Amino acid sequence: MKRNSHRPVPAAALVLALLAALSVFSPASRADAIEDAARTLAAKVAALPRLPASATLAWENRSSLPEFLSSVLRSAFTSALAGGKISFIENASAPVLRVTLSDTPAHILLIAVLQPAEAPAQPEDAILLEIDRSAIPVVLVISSEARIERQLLWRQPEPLLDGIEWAEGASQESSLFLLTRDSLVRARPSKDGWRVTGSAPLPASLLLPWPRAGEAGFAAVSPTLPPQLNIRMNRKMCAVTLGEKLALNCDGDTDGAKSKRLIAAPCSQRKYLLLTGSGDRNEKDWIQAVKSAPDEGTWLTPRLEMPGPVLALTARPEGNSAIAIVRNLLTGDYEVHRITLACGN
Amino acid sequence: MKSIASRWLAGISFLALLAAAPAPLVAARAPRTGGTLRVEMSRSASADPRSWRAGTEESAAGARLAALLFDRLVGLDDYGRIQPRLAVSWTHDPAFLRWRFAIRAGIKFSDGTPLTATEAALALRPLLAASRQLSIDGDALVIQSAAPMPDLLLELAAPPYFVCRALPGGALAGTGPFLPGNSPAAAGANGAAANSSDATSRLIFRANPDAWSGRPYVDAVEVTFGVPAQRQFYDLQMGLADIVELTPDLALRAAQSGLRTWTSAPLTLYALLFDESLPAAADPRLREAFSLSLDHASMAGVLLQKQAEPASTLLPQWLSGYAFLVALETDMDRAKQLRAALPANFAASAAPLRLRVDAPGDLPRLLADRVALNARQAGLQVKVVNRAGASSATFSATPAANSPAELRLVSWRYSSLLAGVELDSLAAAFSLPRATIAAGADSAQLFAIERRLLGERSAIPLVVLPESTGLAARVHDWTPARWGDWRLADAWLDAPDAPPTTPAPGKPAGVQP
Repeated sequence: MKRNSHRPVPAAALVLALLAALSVFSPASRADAIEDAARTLAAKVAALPRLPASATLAWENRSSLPEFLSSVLRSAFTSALAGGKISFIENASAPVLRVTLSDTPAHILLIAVLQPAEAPAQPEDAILLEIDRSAIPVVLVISSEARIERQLLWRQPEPLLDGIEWAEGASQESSLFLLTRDSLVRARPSKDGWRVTGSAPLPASLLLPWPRAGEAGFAAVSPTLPPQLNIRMNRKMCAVTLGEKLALNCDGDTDGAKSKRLIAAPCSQRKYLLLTGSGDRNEKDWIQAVKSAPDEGTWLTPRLEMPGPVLALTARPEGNSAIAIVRNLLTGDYEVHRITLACGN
Repeated sequence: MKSIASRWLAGISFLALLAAAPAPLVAARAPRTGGTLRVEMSRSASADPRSWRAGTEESAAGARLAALLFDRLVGLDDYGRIQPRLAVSWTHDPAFLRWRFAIRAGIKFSDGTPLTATEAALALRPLLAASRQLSIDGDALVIQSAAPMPDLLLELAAPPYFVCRALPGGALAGTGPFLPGNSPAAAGANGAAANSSDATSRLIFRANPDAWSGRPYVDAVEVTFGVPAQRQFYDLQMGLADIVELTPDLALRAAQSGLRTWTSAPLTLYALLFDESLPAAADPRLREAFSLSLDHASMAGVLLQKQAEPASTLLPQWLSGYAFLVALETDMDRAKQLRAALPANFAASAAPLRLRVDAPGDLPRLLADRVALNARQAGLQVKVVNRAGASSATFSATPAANSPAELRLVSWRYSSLLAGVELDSLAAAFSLPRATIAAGADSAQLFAIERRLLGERSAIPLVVLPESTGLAARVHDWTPARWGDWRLADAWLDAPDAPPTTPAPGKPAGVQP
């Protein structure tokens, strides 16, 4: 008396199915199809009338394609245009070539729109190119073994830049560190919820009027033991000294590194990488986890919708959870969510 | 140029390198068989796909019932991949003019009749366009057309293309995961008719132990129709219902109360239609002024409390993929300029434009009032009138059935998974020009067609609204499609005496820094 079909199938069965599929459709042939689409788009762009000699490339993935496949497409697209009629530069006053990945139930769409300098884009000149979903590499397997869960820990109306959970001291007591525009705040769990146990102002040299995505946050945990909590902001790196009082040492320059968003699932021997959506600050975002192994293919969890844009996503050093900072579009509050992977139902 | 295959594999390898040390394995919780899933719906519905009218909420509700009882030739998974259902395989000629579907063997309808290609053809004949010819080739069903059908699989994966068998007396037999149970409104001994027009009827669907797709986890699904929205919300809170429909205001309340909710992709369009047979509405300057006066963002953000999205196109982004390219146009100054150039008696106080609310429910009336307010700010006087028999939850495509009105506020429930098919259906229902040219068009052509339709401003999209569903904590494996399919056969319930495994909702712990 069990459902014998369209049930979540065991991982082993999925792997077998994957291997069987791979024997028919090699990743290379699928990738070639994607490459073809990117090349076709590049050719259509190159044929645009009034094509400027240089432009800024704005690449956005609004589709369900994972970010690394978007990167593959982008790379193929820029390679196809390299040495051609247009070169890509970083210049705010240059024309913008907007390439957007979008999707429908049937297709992935590649859409290119040229926006002249200091003029609105003309959507009637948009180039739309369809990629059949069957061309998406079959090595992408939707994982039924794990799913993402979130738990709201905190919310406040004032902006938050990043958050991280950190085990402190000999007791390894877990604390929640939050980064605001001008201070570092520590909270610890209590019976009534989270309670602020300390804070430290950020030095003036760190402050930015409006930090953009990726400009401020908790930095890569250095490979020392015990791990070191760092803050990365305004191209500077500050080491956080933990204790009853928080202190910051901001001598170092940033190395640009950001903590890898890897977290473990109880049912998986490999960790999952956390991915987020487009980063558009006016739209709801999602979090998805992917894991990959050469012999098993690439596995994705279902997406978890968030109530607003994900502004920061930082894994704790132990890799069993991450903290997502989300601006709730409904309330306007900044929310702190603990992200974990769960298995089964 | 160097193939990116190597870079693709390098990407995979890179991700592999990110993989970290093993973690201990734990057992996943097994689904449980048993229990009755209690569903409440606001309107009655018919599971008979032959009775559905495209674009209506009734057909969407009917499709949910039909999915319990019937099956389609093919299905679509969440990632856009066609999956075999009653057809186990298919082939087509290079020109997509002829498709051949091999029918799954060994399946019986609920009345015991074996499923054959002939039965499938009989079921699909009334549902497919007349230009599609059905024939039998051995054990296979063949669909042919003079025009290419490259997207036929996607078309067949959507409502209303269910395969069911008409029984004497009007009942229908299916091959789905559930059977009609003993309930007064379930007509026919072996049939599957859920044709109740009783506003408060209740149907019970029993698990089909012989379903080819496997027995569902729950023993039964009990569907109660005609339950007012507030009552559904209350029943969910009190544990008297497991799955309820939430109106936008109640969806917001549910979220704020910490209740478990699910929201689909935007599925219902609200739009304005001009009746160009009337002089004022025939003037393109008036239509443009009207269009520019509308503040879509405040309709979605303020009036509907962000439970809807402003609509700049007739098709939503999830279906067309290009809607984001069309910007919303609100320009009150330009609207006033256009108004000033119009004849003084157009949309004046003495002869205001009549805006008739044809869409059912309270929400359209609110939208209409907001439209009138926006228009007045541009100097266009609007009088909102209700449609005759406005309580009827149906879309009226025929303006002649009511008193004349320059404008109508209508709703459209998307049901197809093909943008071209949907645009054709919608344009035909809205009496828009060039209504039959979208099917088979690619995205670039569709974009051009829709831009042309929008440019004529015969129809002005206002907002698109998703569907929100409230869920009891005891419901597991709720895995609906974002386009609204509920997939109740996959859901299972906690044991009656077991505490919910989902944490009790509530406000998060925490203090303000």
